[in-house]
Amino acid sequence: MTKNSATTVNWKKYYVGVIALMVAEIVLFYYITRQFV
Amino acid sequence: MHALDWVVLLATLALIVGYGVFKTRKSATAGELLSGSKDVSLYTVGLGIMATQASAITFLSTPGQAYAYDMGFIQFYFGMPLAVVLVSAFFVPAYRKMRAVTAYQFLEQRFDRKTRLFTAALFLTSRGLSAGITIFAPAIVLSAALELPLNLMIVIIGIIVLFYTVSGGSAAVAVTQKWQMSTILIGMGIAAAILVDRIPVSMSDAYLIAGEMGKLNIINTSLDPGTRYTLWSGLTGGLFLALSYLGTDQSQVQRYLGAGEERTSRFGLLFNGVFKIPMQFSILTIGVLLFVFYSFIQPPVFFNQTEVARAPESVQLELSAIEADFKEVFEQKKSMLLAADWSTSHKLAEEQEALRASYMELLESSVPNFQPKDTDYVFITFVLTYLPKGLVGLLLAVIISAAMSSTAGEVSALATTTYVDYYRVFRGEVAHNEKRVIRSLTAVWGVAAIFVALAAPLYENLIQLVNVLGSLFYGTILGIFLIGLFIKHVKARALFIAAVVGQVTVLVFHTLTVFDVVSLGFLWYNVIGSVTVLAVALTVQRFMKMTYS
Repeated sequence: MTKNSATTVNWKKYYVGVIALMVAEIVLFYYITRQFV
Repeated sequence: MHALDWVVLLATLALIVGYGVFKTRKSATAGELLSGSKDVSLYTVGLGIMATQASAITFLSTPGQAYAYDMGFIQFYFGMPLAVVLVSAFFVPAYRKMRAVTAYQFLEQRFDRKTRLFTAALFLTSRGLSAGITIFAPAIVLSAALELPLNLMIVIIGIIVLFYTVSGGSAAVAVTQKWQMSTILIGMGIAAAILVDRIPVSMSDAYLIAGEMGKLNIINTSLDPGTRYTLWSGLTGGLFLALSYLGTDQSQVQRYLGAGEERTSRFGLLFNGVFKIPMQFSILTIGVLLFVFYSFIQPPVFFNQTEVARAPESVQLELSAIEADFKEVFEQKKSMLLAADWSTSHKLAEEQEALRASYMELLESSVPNFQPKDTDYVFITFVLTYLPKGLVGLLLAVIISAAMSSTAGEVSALATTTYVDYYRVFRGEVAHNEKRVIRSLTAVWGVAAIFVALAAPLYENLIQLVNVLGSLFYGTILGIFLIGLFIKHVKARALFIAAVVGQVTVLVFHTLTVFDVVSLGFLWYNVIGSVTVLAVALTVQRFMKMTYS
């Protein structure tokens, strides 16, 4: 039998982290683009 | 190619494949053949998801995109982290709750068998064709670069994939993908380091040159729907595409449902959400570095030298004259770049482009079936020309590993879906040797992929069709799953009508785009398909409720 331990993880924290990283990447890319426009 | 490169190439491939076969030689149960070993880490799941997504053409084509245009292609992946979160939070728990092996099993439980079979058939059709193209596309570049017959290259890649996929099924695919992806990342890292070392200016100057010459255009905020890669199309169309790919395409679903624990499935997906954009950015950076490198080391006028060699004697003189002019302009541009005279550099770059255009026109008029796209050959040309002996073999192993990992993931998913959603549904009660049937189905799909790849050169439109095929169906499929997961009161009949209307709508928009009536990037098909299915299903369900109550 496999055990389901998904409930013990604070998933919200990880989800916010992944989205925050994406936003930071977009901001960085925008900054690089604007440097040469 | 040097003997040392052949040794490195063959040894790397043999080690990875041999390890995969060895690890799964005795233990492979029917369940492991279908969905892989339960005892896998989040890294195996995460790398497996990335390895299935990243075909060889990703590593050949993406640097060429940045070299020839800019880094705007990265916007295509902006929807991925959002999609990963949604799939992890909603799709994975739903699949695991019913112990599903394929995504399509969920549809029978939620709607009916017809919906399950219809959606599985859409997957088998589009993936079955694209598995062939996953072999064909890199084989054509590798055969030209290595001067080997195309069909031989296709058969070699296909047979190796067949060998370990039939033997160890999804379990062998997972084991090999981890090592294939590791080899890919190490190889690309080494190529980038050598490129940096070979560039004759400092990295800050290289950055300045790339930026001033327009290669560091990453974010495009244009609202024109005809522009393929923009911030908006990436965040919306890219989200819908990634959501349907990660959440409903069995070649992806199988990679994370195979894990024994739900947390491993979910962490494996998040791994992809964290590393996908940086990985694609790194590959595009290699393309930008190639641009700076070839600003100081003269590039060929046209990168696919096999096509140039096919030009008849009668045009060779004219081609040489253009090459001489190209060299002269290149030298002038080099001096202007070093002097930081950007406006003259831009003018000279335009002159270079004009010379390249006349060179290609000449080739087009004199070479039968001339292939004008040479961006896929930029990176491989650098590898074959400038990498030291031994490393050329490693980089070729990287490209072939990428071809094998994505093809193996697709073939295994095709076999699993055929077995679980069709064979077991219609013939499940008849006594049969499960392992033998699964292995036979894997072999059939593998051979089919090889035949599609062999037939691809005969049907030029096939490749274009396959490229767009995913987006033609993904929107509708995603709409079906979104209703299944989130809108509980919509029943099978309303959904079926909505699916048909959604699919017809996407096909109408595609036809209008083909005939230039509207200008629409293909990423928008995913949004149109999903939104139409959702809107029509809700309307029809409401209408039916009013009629029957």
